[in-house]
Amino acid sequence: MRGSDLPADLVAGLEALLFSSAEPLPVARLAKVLEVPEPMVLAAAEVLREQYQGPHRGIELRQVAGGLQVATLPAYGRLVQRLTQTRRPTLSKAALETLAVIAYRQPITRAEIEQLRGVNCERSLQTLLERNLVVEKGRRPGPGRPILYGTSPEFLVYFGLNSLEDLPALEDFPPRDAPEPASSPASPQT
Amino acid sequence: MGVEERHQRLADYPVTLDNFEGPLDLLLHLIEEQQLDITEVALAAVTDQYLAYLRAMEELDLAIASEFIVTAARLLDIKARTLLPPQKPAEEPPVEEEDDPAAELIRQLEEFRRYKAVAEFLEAREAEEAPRFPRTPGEMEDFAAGIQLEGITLADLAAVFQEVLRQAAQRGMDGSPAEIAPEAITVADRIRHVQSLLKSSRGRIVFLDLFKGTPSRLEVVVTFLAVLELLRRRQIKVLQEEAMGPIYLERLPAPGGGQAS
Repeated sequence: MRGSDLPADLVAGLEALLFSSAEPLPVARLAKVLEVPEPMVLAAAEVLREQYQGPHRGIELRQVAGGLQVATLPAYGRLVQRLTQTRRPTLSKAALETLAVIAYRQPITRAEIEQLRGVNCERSLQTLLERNLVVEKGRRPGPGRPILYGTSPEFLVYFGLNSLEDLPALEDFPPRDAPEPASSPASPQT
Repeated sequence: MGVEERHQRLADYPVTLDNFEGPLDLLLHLIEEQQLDITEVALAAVTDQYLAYLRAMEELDLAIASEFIVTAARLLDIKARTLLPPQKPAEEPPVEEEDDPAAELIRQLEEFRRYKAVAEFLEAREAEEAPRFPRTPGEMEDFAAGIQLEGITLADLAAVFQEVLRQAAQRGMDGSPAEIAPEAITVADRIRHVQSLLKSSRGRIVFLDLFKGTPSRLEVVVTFLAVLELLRRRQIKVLQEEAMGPIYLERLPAPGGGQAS
């Protein structure tokens, strides 16, 4: 569908909706509100995306967490930070490792995470829950009915992923550019 | 021995005192430092350094997490086996594979290395996403998420509070003789009360039930404060499953029993 075939107000209406929302908006929801079929929303989004790619624009249209969202261009991140004077604290190594396990093995219990990481994960799990990157996903039937954890939609937004399928396959880790271990057989060390 | 001197002696150890995320992290570091593949031989080769690291932590009076010690025992077990003369293969029972401590540790290390790489991937994405700002960073939403008030607004809580006050007032006007006694209600008392209610009802109670038979306004207020305090301590969460439906309090797993921070 070409941009010129779209109803006159559609692109502008889409932009208004995206501007008003802090959350990524699913295409289905936009279609319902705009009262047009989904392919038309996608076509309008394409028009908007191209316009944002033009000169003198500081925002872009992104597909994130299964929805559409406008966000500032990374190039102006420092500028925005100068305005807001806030900085989002980055996640600790422990929290990132715990999150890595949860992302690929969800739903998973705390005991299973700890088994994989070989350490107590209480604190990093608490951090992830507080930051809403991880949520409870019910309980596993069986003894003790342990709580199951999984990633939240916020997780996808935080890491700029559209869906969990965007995560590289676990078999691809560690990436190829990681230092190759020496092939020579180990000699006893002193 | 002074701290200075201790640090001096630590310099002699073949491992650096970096912060390792557990025994697997340390082991992987030692193996990669020597550019070895993750094999039984490599495990035996780094056992001494692993133990030296534990000793170094000991000298610094650092608390050594039990996980480190468990892994030390596993390493020593593996090393001892590699030093023993190999058994004749014919006599080896086929089940040997399963309780081979080296194979198990190697599998764990390989899996751990994978998740460590995933963590690095996530860290890179985090850095990439940090300079993008969507509309309204939603700081207030973050606060709401922090105390787990799922779908409940301040207005909802206030409305419930009003309802409780109204009920309390009604009870005050039912004509029964009022008993005037010195009131000594503390938040601590009410916290214990809420906790015991939670305990006797499998960790979940209806918010309004807290105020059943509550005669005084002071008690209502203090009970409400107790609920807020429990929320702040993350001992409970408040949830409402449907709009206008009953509000529940739910006990959260106690965060105690963790490692020293």
